[in-house]
Amino acid sequence: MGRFIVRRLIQAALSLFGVLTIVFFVVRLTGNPVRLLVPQNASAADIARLTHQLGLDRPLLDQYGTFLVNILHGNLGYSYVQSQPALGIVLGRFPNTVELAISALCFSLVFAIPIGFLTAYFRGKWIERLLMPVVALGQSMPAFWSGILLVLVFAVHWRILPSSGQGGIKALILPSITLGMITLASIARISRVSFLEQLNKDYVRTARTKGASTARVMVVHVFRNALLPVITMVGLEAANLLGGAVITEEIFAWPGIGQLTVQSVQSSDFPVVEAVVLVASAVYILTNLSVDLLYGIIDPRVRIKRVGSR
Amino acid sequence: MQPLEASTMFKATNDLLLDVDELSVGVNVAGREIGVLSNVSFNVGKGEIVGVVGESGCGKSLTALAIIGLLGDNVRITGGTITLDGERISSLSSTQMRKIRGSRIGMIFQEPMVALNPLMRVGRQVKEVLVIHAIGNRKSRKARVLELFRQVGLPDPKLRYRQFPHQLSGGMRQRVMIAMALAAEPKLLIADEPTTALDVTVQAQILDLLEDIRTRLGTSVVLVTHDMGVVSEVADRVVVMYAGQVVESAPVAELFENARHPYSVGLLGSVFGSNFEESSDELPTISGRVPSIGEVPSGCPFEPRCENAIDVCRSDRPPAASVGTNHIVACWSPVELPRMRLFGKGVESS
Repeated sequence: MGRFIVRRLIQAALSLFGVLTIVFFVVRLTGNPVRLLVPQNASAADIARLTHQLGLDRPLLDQYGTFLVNILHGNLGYSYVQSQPALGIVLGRFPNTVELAISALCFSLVFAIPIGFLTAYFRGKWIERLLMPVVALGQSMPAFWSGILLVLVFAVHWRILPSSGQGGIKALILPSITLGMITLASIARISRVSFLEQLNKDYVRTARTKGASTARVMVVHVFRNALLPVITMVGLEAANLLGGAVITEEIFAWPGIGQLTVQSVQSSDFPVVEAVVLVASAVYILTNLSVDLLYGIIDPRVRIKRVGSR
Repeated sequence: MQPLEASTMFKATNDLLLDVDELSVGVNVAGREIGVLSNVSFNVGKGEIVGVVGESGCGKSLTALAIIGLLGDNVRITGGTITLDGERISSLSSTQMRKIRGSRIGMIFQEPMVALNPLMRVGRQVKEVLVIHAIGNRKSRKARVLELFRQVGLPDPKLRYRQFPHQLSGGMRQRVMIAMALAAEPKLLIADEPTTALDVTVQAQILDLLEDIRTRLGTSVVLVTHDMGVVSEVADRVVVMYAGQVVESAPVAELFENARHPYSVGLLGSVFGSNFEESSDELPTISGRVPSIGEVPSGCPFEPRCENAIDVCRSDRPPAASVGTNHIVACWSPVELPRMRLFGKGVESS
């Protein structure tokens, strides 16, 4: 078990190295950020001085070397715009993203798993015909449209929920629904397929030959088995959500790392872009690792420790 | 040969446990009902092992599922009755039937690898039968499961109780399935190809176990199999099915010595060889294949593959007729005696 985790962490470090390398070079393709930092009437000498100050006039590989060495010291550089450590800015925003992500995930799970179950169990019945279009709608509505629609209805027309900003449960509702809708649809679909698959398994027939009632078959046998693929999906979705929701955070002016990404890209704030990508990737990788470990807890077949030897 | 109302053999006696009488089952395919079992009749005495044999698609498993009341959503009984211990179970409601499943009828399946819930410890899966049928209390149930594990020959019951299915071999899983089927001491055990997925040595052990269960507990067994070899090992009586119909039934020794239906003769020949052949190394086969659902001919279903077929076989379905003690055959043109001598293993008389 320990070896498994160590191996996965080494893999994670390699992935992060790759991601950072790509980001480092890609942001530098966008041109000299100094032009955005100086006032419009700045002289060429001012620009040259600031470029030199930021080290952007050095050869690219030289900059890359310094970048890597600094990272090993936990230093991702200072934001060009805010003159604060880039990592600190990102980590300061991160709790907001976590808050929104958890809330969106809870919203989607509360509906997705029951929908998946009901549409599988009542396949061909009216319940399925009612719910499946709702799922399809959720999946096909992009956040920039559904978000604005929700704002129009609940904030502008009825004035019962705030249209933007952070603070309190009320402000959390609309962004969570907007963000959770797509997650809801994909988790509902996966659970439906998973429940359908499990319902045809031989062990379900075995349970019936024991005289088990339908409710018992579902709750005791099918549910846990069906949840395995769902957990994988939930893990991927959670990792996605924790990486920051660019569009949703923009629409609702939610101060998470998604919004920060947009702001720092727009102002060519290289260190912050790099820090955002680093944090998002690390969270993604760690979330997937925890899902793998969780899988082992739920499914004895993938447990690394041998139960029989206990 | 005299016509006879099928399955009247043990009817009058108290020794009859299961009576399947003129059972017909239909499948609903796109709004149209297609018959898949037609007028299947056979019975099982108390403590008797009856083998139901035939190729894949002959309706053996469907018959088994009909008895335990687990036909699928689109499948239903369209005629006939199933009587268990004097009670007509074919007309029971699903709730009533649920009470019978597990408690009065136990069932085991072909694939012990997938028939158990992979996420539940096997002890708990066996114990669940006792929980469902409210047998015993918390303490006694565990003791009962351990006792069952010992009965079915699972080594180290306490360890097995805590293990998951993937930690057991195929033979051990089938033993767990049998323990589960026997947990509530049902009078009838339905075994649907119980040994097909197992190694030959394990097969023999499982068959021995079934026979042992019958001897010790007096459990009747319906043994569904495609394997005449398996039948010869343990069955007392054999019911041969073809295309959803019973074509011949007889005590096992009688069938092996004096099979009359060309299909039974073919099945036996394909396993044991037939002395019709000039001492050839090759086993004879039955040419052709089982007709699919909905394309069963109106005459004798076996006619297209039958070497003995005569004109009447094409037009009329042969009635069941008695050709000896407890020996029934549904054929217009049965194989004449004496015609074959069996090679290989001896067949015990029942």
